[in-house]
Amino acid sequence: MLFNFALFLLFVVNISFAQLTATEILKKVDDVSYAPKDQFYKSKVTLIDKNGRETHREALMYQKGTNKRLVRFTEPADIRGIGFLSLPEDANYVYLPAFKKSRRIASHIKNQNFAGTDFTYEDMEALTYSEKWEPELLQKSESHYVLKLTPKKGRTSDYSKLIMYARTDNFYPEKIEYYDKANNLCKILTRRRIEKIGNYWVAIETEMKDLRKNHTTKLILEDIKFDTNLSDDIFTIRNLER
Amino acid sequence: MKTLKIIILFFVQSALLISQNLQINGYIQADDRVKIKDKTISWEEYRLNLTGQAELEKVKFYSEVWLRNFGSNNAKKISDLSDRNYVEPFDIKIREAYVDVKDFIVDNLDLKVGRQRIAWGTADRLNPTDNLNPDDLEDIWDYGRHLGSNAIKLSYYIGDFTFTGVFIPTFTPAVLPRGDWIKIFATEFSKTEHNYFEISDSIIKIQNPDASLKEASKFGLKISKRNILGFDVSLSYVQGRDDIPIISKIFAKPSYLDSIHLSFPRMKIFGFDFAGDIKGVGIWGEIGIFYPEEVILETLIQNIPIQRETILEKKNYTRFVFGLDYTFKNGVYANVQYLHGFLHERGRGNLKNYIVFNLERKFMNDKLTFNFLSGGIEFKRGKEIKNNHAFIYNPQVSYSPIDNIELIVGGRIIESRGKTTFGRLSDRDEIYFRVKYSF
Repeated sequence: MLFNFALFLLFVVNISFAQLTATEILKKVDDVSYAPKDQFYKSKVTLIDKNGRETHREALMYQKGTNKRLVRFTEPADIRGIGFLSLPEDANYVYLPAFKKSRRIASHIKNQNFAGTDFTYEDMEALTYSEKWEPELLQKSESHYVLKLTPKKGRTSDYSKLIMYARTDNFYPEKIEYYDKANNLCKILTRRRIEKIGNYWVAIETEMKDLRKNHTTKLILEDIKFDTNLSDDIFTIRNLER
Repeated sequence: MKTLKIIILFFVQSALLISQNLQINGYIQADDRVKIKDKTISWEEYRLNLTGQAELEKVKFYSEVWLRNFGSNNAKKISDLSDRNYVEPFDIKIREAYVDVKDFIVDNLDLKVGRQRIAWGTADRLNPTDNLNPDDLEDIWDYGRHLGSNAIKLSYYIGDFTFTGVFIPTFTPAVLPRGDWIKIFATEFSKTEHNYFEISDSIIKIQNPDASLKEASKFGLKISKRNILGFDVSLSYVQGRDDIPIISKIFAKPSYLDSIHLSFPRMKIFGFDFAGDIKGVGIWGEIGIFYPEEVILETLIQNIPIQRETILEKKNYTRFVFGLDYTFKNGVYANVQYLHGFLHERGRGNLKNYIVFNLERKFMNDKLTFNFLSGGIEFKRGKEIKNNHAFIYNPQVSYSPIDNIELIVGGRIIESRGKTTFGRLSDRDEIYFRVKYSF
C-alpha cells in the first residue's frame, strides 16, 4: 500500500515537472543556485593554456543574496589584494592596491577576462539567471532540462545565447554553453562533483573552457560556508579598500 | 636623518613582526633608461618595495617601505670615494606607516593615523582634486605619484554616503624632478620670463612656513555619494599650502644676484569629481577650483625694494580633467583623458592643455600587453596647435612569462614645435627597460 502511494506521488511529481514551463525551470535553477542566504568559499583556480602549461590563482569569494558579491585575490603575489565588488543596479568596482583606491568599472569591461581567467566580468556579475535571461525549453531528457537563454529585453550581454543543461533531479545547472554574437559556440562551463552540503547543492569543481583560445580555467572550492550571516559591511567600498 | 629613518623602519617592521597575523609582501624592480641620442644612462633605479600588514579584528597596521639604489657612482672628489653614498647612492623611503581602526568609538567611523597616502579623485594619475599629499615629481614620467603624509583621517559611512576629514599638521613640500630635470619645469615654478634655475642653485633659498599649526597645517573635507543616476560623485575642500614653490623675493647687489627666495603660497581648493558610464563607455571627470593667495615678487637691491610684480594673482583658476575608456570587440582597450592644467601649473592664463591617450591590446591570455598607441599631446591653444605643441609617443610592451614576473620594454619619442614644457625634453628620447618580481 505504502509502495503504491509512493509510486503515485512520484508519478504526480513527474507530471508536475513535465509540465513546468521554461520560466519555472529557470526559477528553480535560480532557487538551487542562489539558495543560501549567503556563502563564502576559498577558490583554487588553475589556468591551463593550449600547451597544457598551468598557472595558479587563489581567491576568497563572499556572496550575499543574489546581487552582492566580493572576490578578493590572495595569490599569486602580483595580483594579491585585487578585489572585485558587484552590487545591485549594475554597480561594479575594482580595487587595485597599487593605486590605493577603488574604481567604478564601466560595462564595456564586461566582455574582458577577469584576472586572466576564462570568466569575464559579465560572468562574475551577481545576477540571477532569471533577472538576465529569457528562457526557452528546448528539450527534456531523463537527466536534464535543456534551456536556451537569450538576453532579456533591456539587458545587454556579450553572448547571443546560452544553452543550459539543468539536472532534472535537483535543477542544478551542470553545463552551460556560451554562444558569441556571431552565434558560434565560444565557451563551455562544466560543473562536477555536485554535492549537497548542509541544505544546499554546490559544485565543488567548475571548469570554464574557452574554445577560441583553447584555454581552460578550473576552480576547486574549499572551506565552503553557508548562511553564516555575512554582514552587509563586507559588500561595501569601505571594505573593498581596506 | 638616515639613522632616524632606519630606527623608524626597524621599529615599524619589528612591531609588525611580533604580530601573529603579519603578511609581508613586496616587489623588486629594476628600472633603467638609456638616452637614444648619446646612448647615456638617463635613469637607473633598483627598488625593493616591502609592505607589512597585520590585522587584529578591527585594527589594521600597514607599512610600505622603499629601499633603493638610485643612480650610479656620483663621486666627484677623491674623498667621495670613501663615502658609500657617493659610490653606491642608496636611500630608504617610508611611503606609508599607519594604524587603521574600524568602528572607532562609534559604528561606521574609521580612524587612520600615521603616514598615509590619501588618494582623492577618479581620473587616471592626473587628479586636480588630489591635493592633500605632496607631489612626488622625482620621476616626471611617473606623474601622479605622491609622498605619504603624517595625517589623521576620519571616515564616516552612512548608506551610500561617505564623509571624510583629513588633518595634516606639518608642511612637506613636493619632491621636484631629479638633477637637471628641474630646469625643464623651471619657468612654471618661477613664473617669470627668466629661468632662474639656470643659475647656481646655491643662491636659491627655500622659505618654509613656520612650524606652527596655523602656518604649516593642511586639512581636507570630502563628501562622496555612490550611485546618483549611475554615477559616483564627490565634493571636496582642501585648505593649506601649495607644495610647489614660487619665486617671491630677489635680493641683488648692484653688480650681482645675491639670492632668490621661493615660498609656498596658501591655497583653498574646491573639488568635484564623478565616475560612471554611459552606454558602456566609462566616463570620469574632476574639477579643482583653486583660490590662491596673492604672491608679489619683490626685487630688492641692497635691501631696498625697487620693483614689485604680482606673480600669482588672487584670482581663482580651474584645473580639470575629463576621461573616457572603452574596450572594443577586438579586445583593444582605449583610455583618453583631456587635462587642463598639469599638476605644476597655476594661475589664470598659465594653464596648458593636454590630451593623454593609451590604446593597448593583450595577447597570450593576458601575458603580453602591447601599448601600441600611448602618449600625449601638449598645447596652449587649439588654434596654435600646429606651431606650438609637444607630442610624446610612448609605445610599450610588457610580458609576464610566469606569475609574479613582469618584463617591460618601451620608448619615449618627443616631437615639438614652439615653447612647451615637454618640448624641452625633445633631446631626451629614450628607451627603457623594467623588470619587476612580486613576492
